[in-house]
Amino acid sequence: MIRVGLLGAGMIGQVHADAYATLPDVEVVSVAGLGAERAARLAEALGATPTIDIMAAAADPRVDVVDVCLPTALHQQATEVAARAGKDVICEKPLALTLEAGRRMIGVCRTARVHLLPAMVVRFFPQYQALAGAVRDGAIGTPASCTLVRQGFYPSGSGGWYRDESRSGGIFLDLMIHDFDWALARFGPAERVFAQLRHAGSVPFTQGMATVRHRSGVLTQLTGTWGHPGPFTTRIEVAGTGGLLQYDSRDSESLELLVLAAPEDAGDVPLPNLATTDNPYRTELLHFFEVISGHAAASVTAEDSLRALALALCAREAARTGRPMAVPSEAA
Amino acid sequence: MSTPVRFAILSMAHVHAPAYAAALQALPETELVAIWDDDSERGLRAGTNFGVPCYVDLHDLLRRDDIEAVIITSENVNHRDLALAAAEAGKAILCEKPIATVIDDAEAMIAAAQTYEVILATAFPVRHNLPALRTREALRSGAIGEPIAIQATNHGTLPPGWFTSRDRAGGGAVMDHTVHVADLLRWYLGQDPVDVYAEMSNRLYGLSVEDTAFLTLRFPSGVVATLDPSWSRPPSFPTWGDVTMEIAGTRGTLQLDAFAQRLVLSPAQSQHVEWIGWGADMDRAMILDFARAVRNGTPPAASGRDGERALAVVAAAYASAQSGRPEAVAAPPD
Ligand SMILES: NC(=O)c1ccc[n+]([C@@H]2O[C@H](COP(=O)([O-])OP(=O)(O)OC[C@H]3O[C@@H](n4cnc5c(N)ncnc54)[C@H](O)[C@@H]3O)[C@@H](O)[C@H]2O)c1
Repeated sequence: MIRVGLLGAGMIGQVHADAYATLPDVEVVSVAGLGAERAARLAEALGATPTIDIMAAAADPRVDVVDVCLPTALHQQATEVAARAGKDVICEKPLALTLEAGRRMIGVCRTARVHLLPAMVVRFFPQYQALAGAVRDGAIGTPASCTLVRQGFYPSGSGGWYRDESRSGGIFLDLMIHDFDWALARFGPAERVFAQLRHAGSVPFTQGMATVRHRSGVLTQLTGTWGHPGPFTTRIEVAGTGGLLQYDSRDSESLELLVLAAPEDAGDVPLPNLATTDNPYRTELLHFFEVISGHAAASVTAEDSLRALALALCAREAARTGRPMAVPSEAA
Repeated sequence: MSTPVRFAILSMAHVHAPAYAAALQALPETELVAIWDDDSERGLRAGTNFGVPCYVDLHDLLRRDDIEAVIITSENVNHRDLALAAAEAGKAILCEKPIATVIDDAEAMIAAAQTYEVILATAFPVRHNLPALRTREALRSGAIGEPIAIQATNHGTLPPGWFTSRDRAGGGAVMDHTVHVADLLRWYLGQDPVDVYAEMSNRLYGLSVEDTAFLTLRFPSGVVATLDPSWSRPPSFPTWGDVTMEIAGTRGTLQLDAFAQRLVLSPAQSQHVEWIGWGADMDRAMILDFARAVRNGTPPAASGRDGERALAVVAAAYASAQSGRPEAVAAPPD
């Protein structure tokens, strides 16, 4: 039995808790969150103890693995505390807010000889896996271009931290990191990136747009939107010498529930409709526990998530300057 | 309208030429009376098909006083010479897009139309696509507040023949597929973009011209539009391509799929599903608008200047692909 300390009882903490409830041989022993009530609710459902002392929970002698579902600005501290206490660490994306912080986390975990497993969950979405598999199998020949779109409503987070770029990293780091990672994993290192960022002054709306030239010659165009008025939407398209592959979440609702009255609360953060897919968050955690117990090699590494972070940071900087940015090769 | 406007088609080189000829014959307001083609075999075939004489000498055709208007559907690089000759002969001109391959040619065409006092229109049929028109009305009515950011596509399949020849088409996918959306954006937003950033590649087909590109256009209002004009639809794609736009604004988002009005055909004899459009015929609407302009002396929906402004976006995109930086869209003369 692997014993887990869940740090963070917010939106993604809840999602992980739901997955833990169905994972074999894994027991959540503590749930930490500032909102005592919410942490208590999650803890009760899992038979765990709630706490508001987050860093103490990170070093709790009862746990083997710490799952960091805290606001991004706390990832580094929580990871380092847990690693120094000898815990394996699962950490939500983005790994950190800066490359230095991400590198330190990797270094501390390496020194402590513990795993650092980045929750790049899009790697575990069945449609993204199917698409990656088809590309790898040559279904479209040599890829030439890729379009990635990710759009949902504007998240707030406990205390509104998503809306503070110094705490969330903004849309390039928080939302588009998934697609930067996916593109890097498929098409290899980036050579340069051009990007634009648009806000609506009056309403919560942000759209990030980036064009990446990979060293392989593939071109990727990425769009991320916070404040999208429609349902959570993701799209991918890859064009190659042998054909075209497309995925659009709007075409993939195999079950839709239409209700007469709008539900009162829509949740805190836009999430894909999971009702009709294998829960990718569960797939992700299941994989991580296989890695931790030595039964599998990690399919996504902390270094991968650092590379995605590096590209996202370049995109953010390109959007600030309005100039394309060369992506440094050690980061690419 | 009184008597039908009498048209000639100058060159059947462009894939749209047969559709324009059919529209001219179908509309009561227009009449197709002659064709000219520098490829006499192609011209004769079209002449036989449409039951009109085909000329091999352009000036023999242009001398005919009963011909009031011409549609130029030649290779892109020949637009200029044909337009200059037609203007000099006093014919109204509807020129296929892109209006030319370089700005100087477009300016020469605009100047000739002015000198000889003839109408010069650019064939931007998407302005007559009903969903695209409704999009403009919705924007104008404030349905989404102030526009903030736009994602656009004008994908296509690899076009045949001269379209992929730099010498005759002036470029590849960017030359072919940027101007429709560039024109729609100008028409929707009421301003020219400030600059364009473009990444291009020829990885799909390995030709001397680009088949793949991503463009980013920045407008004076701050609006940023991305555009994918790639020839990335494979031969098996159910149709020729698409025109789509997602326009996010301060009060909502508009999603345009200009050719979503379609049937889906799964033929028993083929591997390929086909889409059959049933939306209102934009080619006819465009030709009708032009014929009315000729008859009534009113401005056509898209002028020669509109064609030149869209071409300026293309020119900036090629400059950007060369320099690796955003490049300014040249301002129109005074
Ligand atoms: N993989 C995904 O799909 C996905 C989706 C959403 C969020 N995330 C990531 O998960 C992490 C958590 O996001 P979330 O949406 O669950 O956040 P949230 O605001 O909903 O929850 C944050 C949790 O951390 C606690 N917390 C501790 N210290 C805090 C502090 N100083 N300020 C605010 N909260 C504090 C809160 O009490 C709460 O329990 C972020 O890194 C985010 O980027 C990932």
